[in-house]
Amino acid sequence: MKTLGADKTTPVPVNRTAQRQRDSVVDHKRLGVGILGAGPVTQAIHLPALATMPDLFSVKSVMDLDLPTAQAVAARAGARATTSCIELLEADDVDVVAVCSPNSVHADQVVQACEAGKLAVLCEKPIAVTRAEGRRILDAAKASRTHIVVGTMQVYDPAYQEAAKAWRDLDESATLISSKILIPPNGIFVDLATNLVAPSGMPPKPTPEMERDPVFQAQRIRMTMLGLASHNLPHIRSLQPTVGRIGAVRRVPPFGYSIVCGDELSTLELRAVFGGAWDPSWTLTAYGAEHELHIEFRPSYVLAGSARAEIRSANETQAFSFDVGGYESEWTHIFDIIRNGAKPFVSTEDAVADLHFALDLSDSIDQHLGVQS
Amino acid sequence: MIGTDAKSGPIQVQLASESREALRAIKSLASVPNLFAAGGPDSDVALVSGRDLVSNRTAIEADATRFVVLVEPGQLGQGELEWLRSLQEGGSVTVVVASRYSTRLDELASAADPIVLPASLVTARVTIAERDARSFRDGLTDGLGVVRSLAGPIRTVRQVHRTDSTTVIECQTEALGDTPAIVTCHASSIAPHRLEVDVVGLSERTSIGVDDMATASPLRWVRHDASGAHQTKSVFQGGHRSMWVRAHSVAKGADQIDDLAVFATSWGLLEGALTYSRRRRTS
Repeated sequence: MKTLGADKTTPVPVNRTAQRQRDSVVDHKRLGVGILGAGPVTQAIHLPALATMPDLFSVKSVMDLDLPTAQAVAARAGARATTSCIELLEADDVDVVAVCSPNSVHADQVVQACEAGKLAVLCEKPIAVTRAEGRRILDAAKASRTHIVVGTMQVYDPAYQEAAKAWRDLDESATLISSKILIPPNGIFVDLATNLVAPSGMPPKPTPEMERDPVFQAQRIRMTMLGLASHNLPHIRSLQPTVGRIGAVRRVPPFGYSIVCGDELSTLELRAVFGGAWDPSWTLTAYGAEHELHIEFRPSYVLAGSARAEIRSANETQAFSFDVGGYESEWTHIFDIIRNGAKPFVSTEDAVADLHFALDLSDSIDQHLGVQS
Repeated sequence: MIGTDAKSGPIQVQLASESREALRAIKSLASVPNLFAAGGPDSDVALVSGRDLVSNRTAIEADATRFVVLVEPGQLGQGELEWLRSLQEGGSVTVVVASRYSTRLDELASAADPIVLPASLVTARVTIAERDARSFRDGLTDGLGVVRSLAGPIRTVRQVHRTDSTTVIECQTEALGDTPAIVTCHASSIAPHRLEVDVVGLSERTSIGVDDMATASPLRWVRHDASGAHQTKSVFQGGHRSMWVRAHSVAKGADQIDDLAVFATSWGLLEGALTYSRRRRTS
C-alpha cells in the first residue's frame, strides 16, 4: 500500500544561483509602480489587476492625503505609504505613475510625473478638465518622452480592439451611433471587488432647487461627459470625428444624461442612467450600411473578462470575447510599450484630442442649454 | 358589421395594393383561414397601402367594400388621409389602421407587469428598409404608435436630428411627465423591420424588442429589477396575424374602433414637426 509521498524521489536541490539570476532578469524587466490616490479605483481595480502580473509590475509606493488609507492600501501591496505626491515622484524605484486622484488635479500630477522623468503615466479619465491643461500635458510628455495612457479601460479591452480592427477592415461608415450606459451604484461592484478602506463622509446630495438650476444642470452634464461618457468617447470619436449639432439634451438625475447630436451624415445618441436597481447594461452600437458593430462592456470596478463584441451583417454575426478585460490589458500594454517598444494604441496627441472631443461636446451642450461655459 | 352567423364563413378580402408590405399582409391570411380568405372585387374588405392609395381608390369606393385595412399608414399624404376620413365620416367604410407593432404591444402588455411611468429614460428605435421621406414618416408613425400603446395619447412631437439615414424625434404624453420619449427611425439593410424599446426607471427597466422579418417573430418583453430579469412568455404571432385577428373583431362588431382619428392626430403632429424643421433648415 502506498502512503502519501512514499514514491517521492529525493528532492532536487534548488539552484539558488539560477533563481537569483532569473529574479534579477525579472527585476530588471519588472516596472515599479507608484499610485497617486488610494480610493476605490486603486483598491478595486489597479491593485487586483497588478496582482495578476507580478512578473511585470511591482507596486512600490501608494500616496493618499489620508494617511491611514494610504498605509492600509500600501500594506496590501507591500509598498511604502506616503501623503506626499513629490515624495512618490522622486522615488527612483517608481517607473510608472498611476494617477487615481480627483479629476481637478489630474493634469498637474501628470505634468509633474513627466517632469520627474517617469517612463509612463496611467491617468484615470479624464486626463484633464480644460484644453489648456491638455496642452500642458502634451508639452510635458513630449519633452520627457513619457508615455501617457488614459484609463478609459474599454479602449484597451481586447474584444473591442479586435472588433474595431475588423470594423476598420470593412471600410464601413457609421450612420447612427448609440451609447447606452445603465449602471447600478458603483458601491455594489466595489464591495464585490475589494474590502474598501475609505475615510468616512459622503458628498451632500443636491437640493431640489439646485436640480432645477440650468447652470447646475449644465455643470452636472459636463461632469458626466468628462467622467462617465468619456469611457466611450474615444470609440465614438473613431466612428464620428466631430460632435456636430446638438439636437436634444436632458440630464437624468442623479448622474445620467440623454443627448442626441450629429452632423449631416451621422447621428449620435448618448444615454446613461446611473444608480438603478437592475443589472448593468453598457452597450455601444454603430450602425453602418451593411454591418453593425455592437459591444456589451463589463461594468466598472470588476475584473470579469473582456467585453462581448459583435459585428453583424444580414446573415452572419462575428463575435469577439477574451478572458482578460480592459483593466489588465491597459497595464500589459504599458509594459509592452516600455519594455518591448510596442506602438501605443492611443498616442498622447490622440488622448488630448479625445479630451477636446469631450470638451467640444460639453461646450455645445452648454450652448444648447443657453449656459455660459 | 359583417354577418354574425358563424356559418357564414371567412370574410373575403381584396388585395388592392402591390406594395411589398401589403403582399406580406395578404400572405398572412393563410394563418387565419377561419376568419378571412382572399377574394375578388366584391369582397367586404379591401387591403390597401398608404404607399399606393391613390391608384386603389376604386377598390375602396366599391359598393361591396365596408372595411378598409390600411397598411403602411404613415405613407399617406395629407389629401389622402382627409379623403379617407371623409369616406369614414360618410359611413361608407370603416378604416382599420394596421400598425406594425402596437397591436402586438397591446396584447403583450395585458400579460406583462405594467410599465411604471414617468421613467428616467424612454426610447424607441424603429428600422425601415427604404430611405425616402414617406418611409421615414411610416417608421416614425409606427414608433409613435408604440409610444401611444405604452404611454397614452401623443401631445407634442419635435424633430431632434435628421440625416439621410436617420430621423430622431421626441414626443410627450401625459403619462411620460417631464421625460420625453425619443423615437429614432433608422434605415437599415441588415434588419429593416426591427423595434427596440427601452423604458428605464431607477427601480425597474422594461426592454421590448422584435426583429420582424419572419411571419411569426415573437416580441421580447423583459422587465429588469432588483431581483433580476423576467421575460414575459413569448407569443409566436407576427404583427400581420395580430392585425387580422383584430380586424375580424372589428368587422364582426366586437370591437369599436377609432383608428383613423387616433392615427390622424399622430400623423398631424409628426407632419407638423417634420415640416417645421424643414422650414427652419431652409430659412
